[in-house]
Amino acid sequence: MIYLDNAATTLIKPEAVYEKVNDVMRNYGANPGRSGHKLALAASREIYHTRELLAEFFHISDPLRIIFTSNTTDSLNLAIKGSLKKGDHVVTTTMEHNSVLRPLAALEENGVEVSILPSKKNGLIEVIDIERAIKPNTKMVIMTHASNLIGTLMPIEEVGTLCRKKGLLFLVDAAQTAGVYPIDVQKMKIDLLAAPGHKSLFGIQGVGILYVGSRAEVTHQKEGGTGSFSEDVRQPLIFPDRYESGTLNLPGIVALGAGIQFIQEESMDRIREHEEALAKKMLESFLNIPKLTVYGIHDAKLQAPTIAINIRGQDSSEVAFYLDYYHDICVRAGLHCAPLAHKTIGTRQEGAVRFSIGYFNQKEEIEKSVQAITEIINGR
Amino acid sequence: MEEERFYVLAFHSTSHSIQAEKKLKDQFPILIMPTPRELTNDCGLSIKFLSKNYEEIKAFISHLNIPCDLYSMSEKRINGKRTVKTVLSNSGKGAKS
Repeated sequence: MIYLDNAATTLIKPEAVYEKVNDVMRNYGANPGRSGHKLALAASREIYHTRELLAEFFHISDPLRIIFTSNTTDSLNLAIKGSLKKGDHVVTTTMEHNSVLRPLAALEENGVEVSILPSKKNGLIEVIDIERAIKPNTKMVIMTHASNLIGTLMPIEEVGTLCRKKGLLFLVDAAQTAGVYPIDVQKMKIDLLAAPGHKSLFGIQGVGILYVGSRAEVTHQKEGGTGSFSEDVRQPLIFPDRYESGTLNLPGIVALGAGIQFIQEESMDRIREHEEALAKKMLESFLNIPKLTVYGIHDAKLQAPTIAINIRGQDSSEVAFYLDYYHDICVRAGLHCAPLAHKTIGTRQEGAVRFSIGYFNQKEEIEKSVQAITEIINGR
Repeated sequence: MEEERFYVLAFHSTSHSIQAEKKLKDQFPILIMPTPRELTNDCGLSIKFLSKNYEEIKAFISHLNIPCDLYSMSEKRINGKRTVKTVLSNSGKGAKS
């Protein structure tokens, strides 16, 4: 089986992640932050440890400003709905995932003004276009770090600098980049950072994070037990309790910590170089195949290792099915929850076949995938 | 004769308790435990100091950048309750509210 759907979830995890989940479930799977017994304390300490690892990883000065959520969508909903009010204006791009577009569409019905800037066909956005879209009531700019469809890397630091200069909040969706591309919230002037645990950070499904910087004032979206201020029926306003009502996903959070430690031991540069080399090989091979449309910027240095293609005249879902059924290759077809990105690249109707590379992929798997596409083109 | 007392550091959030424990454990002999009822009705965690280096503890806590309150509690109970004195308040409003 060849797995090339890493943009959705990384399938293979570092050995330490499997071991850590087993360890927590067998040895201290108590409720963190509630009771004061040894096992609950062990759980709380591990969660705090993961916060510290995340803080160091993303250059966040206060580990308690990292909120654990259930996934990136949950993080983005909290950041968006917790920050924007009726009359506010928000600027975003056509490269965004539905996890940004749908919360914004919901807010639009309640009087939030939304500008969705069209990116170029290769996914790029000009910073000047963002600057031009800013109005007196603009409160926030939301941008993905890399397109989940064609991988294009966005000028995060330039946009962050612009936002800081204009007094706007900057929310970054790092679903496709966290763990592979350096993210420094201070240098990039990111006020709100949403990231998944289960993709390139190598945790398991069910955990996301939201970093809330000191310039952001985010209203919590749910109330409940926090293990603190228990005599008060109102939600506490301290970090991270305000945003973390209910029992946390201890195995998921601890796994995320183990994933980050793996990345640090392995070195993020090495991980990125490996993925870039595979993406370069796949891009070059695909670009040499007539009958194939390869979308995006065609440069492994300027895109995350996510490559979208179509065999001209063939349905993307059918191609993905052939890859799976006859060649044991897992990819994703269709619209990838990014309808406006598909509209931008001109594939709103047919969708595209997306190959997304991860650190555990090997050169031979790329070669076999290219071979499989050739065979499908030739009707085999 | 001076009354026997001990120091307890109380917090609003478990995250703060764990954060403080990490910073304190190499400096002082401590125990982490549920917050005594005399201090607050929260179900949070406190840190009990097993040493009586009061001045050192106070100096350390005053530079600890974590919201917390330091109390002195009596070893003896009067009518089932220990007496409590606030030593330092870093929490903004005091844990005993």
